[in-house]
Amino acid sequence: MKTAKDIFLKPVSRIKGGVLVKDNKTTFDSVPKSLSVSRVVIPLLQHCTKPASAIVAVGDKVKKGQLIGDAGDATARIHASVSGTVTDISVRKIAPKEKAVCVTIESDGNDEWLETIAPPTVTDAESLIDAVFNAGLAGMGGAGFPTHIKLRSVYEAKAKTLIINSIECEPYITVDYRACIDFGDDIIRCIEALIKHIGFERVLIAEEDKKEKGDEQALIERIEKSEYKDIIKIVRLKPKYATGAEKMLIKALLGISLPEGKLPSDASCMVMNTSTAAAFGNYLLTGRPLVSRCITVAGSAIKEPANIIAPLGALISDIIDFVGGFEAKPYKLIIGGPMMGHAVDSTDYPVTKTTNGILAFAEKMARVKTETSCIRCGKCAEVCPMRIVPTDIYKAATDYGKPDINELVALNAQACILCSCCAYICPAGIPLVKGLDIGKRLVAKAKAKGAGNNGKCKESCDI
Amino acid sequence: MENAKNPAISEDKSANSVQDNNKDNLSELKLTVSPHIKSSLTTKGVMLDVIIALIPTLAAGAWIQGPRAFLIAFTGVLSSVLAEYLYNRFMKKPNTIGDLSAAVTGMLIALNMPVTIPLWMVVVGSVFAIVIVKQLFGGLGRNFANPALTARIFMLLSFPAAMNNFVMPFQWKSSSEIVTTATPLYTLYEAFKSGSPDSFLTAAKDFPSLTSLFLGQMQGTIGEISALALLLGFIYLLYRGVIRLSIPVSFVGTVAVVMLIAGKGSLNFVAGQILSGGLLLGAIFMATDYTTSPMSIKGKIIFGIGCGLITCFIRLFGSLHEGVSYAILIMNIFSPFIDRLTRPRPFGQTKKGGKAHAKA
Repeated sequence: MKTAKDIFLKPVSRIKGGVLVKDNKTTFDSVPKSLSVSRVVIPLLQHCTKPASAIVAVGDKVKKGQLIGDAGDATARIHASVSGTVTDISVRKIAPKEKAVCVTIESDGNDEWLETIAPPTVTDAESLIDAVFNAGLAGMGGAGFPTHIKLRSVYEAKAKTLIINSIECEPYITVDYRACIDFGDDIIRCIEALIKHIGFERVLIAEEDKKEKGDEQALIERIEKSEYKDIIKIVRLKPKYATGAEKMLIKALLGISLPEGKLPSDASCMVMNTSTAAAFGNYLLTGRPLVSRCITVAGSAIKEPANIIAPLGALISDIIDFVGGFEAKPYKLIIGGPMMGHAVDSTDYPVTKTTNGILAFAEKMARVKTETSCIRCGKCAEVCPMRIVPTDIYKAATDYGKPDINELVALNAQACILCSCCAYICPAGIPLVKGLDIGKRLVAKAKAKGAGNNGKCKESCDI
Repeated sequence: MENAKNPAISEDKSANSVQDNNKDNLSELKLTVSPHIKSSLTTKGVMLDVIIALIPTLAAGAWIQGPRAFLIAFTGVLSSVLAEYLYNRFMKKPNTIGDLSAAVTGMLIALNMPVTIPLWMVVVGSVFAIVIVKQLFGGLGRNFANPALTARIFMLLSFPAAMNNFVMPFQWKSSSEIVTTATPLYTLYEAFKSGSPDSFLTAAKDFPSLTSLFLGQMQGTIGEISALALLLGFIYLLYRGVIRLSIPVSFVGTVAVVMLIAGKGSLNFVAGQILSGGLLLGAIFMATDYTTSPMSIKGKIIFGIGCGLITCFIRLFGSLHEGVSYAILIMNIFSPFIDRLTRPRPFGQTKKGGKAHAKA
């Protein structure tokens, strides 16, 4: 193991802010199991840009991996995740406050892949970006930004560094952790292709420094075998919540602080989620597009917390049944992690490319701190990784009856990354994230009006 | 990511019954905004920490000045909590005594009184602090001045004789009459006026030794005398992360520097200024009040330096010999402006307010 040491690099800079959260990651040892379902409801919007449009019709027979949603270059392609018959194409609720066109497919139980599936021929940057597009990739860490768009801008900006984000600082979630163990081969294949065709000069795999992490020997050995082993490094960071946020990660690994509005390509780098990398590595080998993903199912109300691989569009209810159902009456059901995930009111929602966790909390865990007045302790500002003052923004966005846009701009409300550190620490139990979200959107809207819409996040800004 | 083997889900009856159960189960699902887990930190917990941190000070006060200190503390806490309860009740507002902030105020008022104070005055002070200074401004978090401190100033102006009726250390234990001497702060004032503080202090027979000053064997209010007890509370608050070093250190540090100059290098003079009077009590427990002090570290340092300078000016040139309360009250007024001036620079932005160039 004398060479293994050279693989590890130290972070170059410390991050201010953030919080120490009990990580509750009980599913480290759970090797993801696949589940198959009788029916999938596949939303045509699983990424953060425009929704795709359906290119199949009700009654059509589809095979697994068949393209069913497409709307050109601005979206991520959507593929059938089971083989069977399309029974419904209609607008459905995919989250408590979100609707999208969904394609419902009744499975024929055969789980047959489309016959024409073949590994892509990648010869240059263009064909690589095409391959990413055909794989239907969107950031699987939670942002859901179509990967081919990101890759193209990075290629044009001639970025030098590729960062594989395996930090996963959200408690409970162990998806990326498992990916490093179970799909190391796919991850490195993806990295090799990106080095070869996009021209990255250095690859940093960032992960949390956890004692439990002894078993990625396979990943390390795979790196050793790679023709690019000299430029692929692993950086382990001290566990602290919000380290995995893109800007924080770039600061820790490269020492560059990207202000609000700047992209990783401005720091000559690209940040890619581990699961996304693994999915692309798999596509390069097999030609199978992204039709399923690993999800951590956990929380105090879940009987047997586990990692599972679910077809996209599988309903939460099916997944919870697969892990043995509820152990206690759930008082909160969360899609994503407990810090940034969204609470949902039913198990009828489908999982998407960005669903990394399904958490169910029993009564005790779901209890909310009673909200009292702000005592101006300043803890929210202390833990804010973006160095803004959440309590002031919350007041400007909610307290005055009419939100004060100028004040929100002066307070840099738009810099908020919604990491929830402030509301986590707040002793008064104030739902700061609500105010920050409103403030952020108001500023974005005001800026779009003032300086012409730059086209970013048009859909999400509905106020 | 794809896995070739797909074990089919069991479709036996147990699976179905689980699903039926789920439907009933889901009636209680709450939709709340993220995060879905919270730290164990609460306002009540913070206040409780402050109360715990004040216990050594109260104990030292009672040891040196007599057990009546406990009675005063009890009266202060009870009347403050009751005042808040009755005010909320009368104004039909939610009951807020559970956050323990009224108890902290009552405790601080008591510690700012001489041990001889008539109890009814303590009640008047507590009601003034809670109703006028705190609740009328909207309650916890909305008052611009520290309630306990403003009550102390109000009482100093209303009952000057009772508020300055100090006892000698351990007078309560002794049966014989003890001659009351000048307070240490008065001696220090005379020392400054004399032009040669160091020789004046050495000559002053009734000026307490450094050890006495540190342990609290001197005249003063219940809570201000024992530097040792106050420092114990300070360490506890630091350890619990309730307060930071910034305000106490910049406050006391400024006083030390100014007094070193004013005392012409006399270390006795500096130590006397720091250890006597309400400086440590004020710097550790009153100036650090969250609501009435700035939020950022830079702001806190400016606040502390301001408090220190005003304290020195009042002590050296004013008609009063003690200025800590007034200094903090004046800086309380500046707090919102200091906050505005010292907003943290957002992540990645450069000094001029422009965006940092990010090219590596």
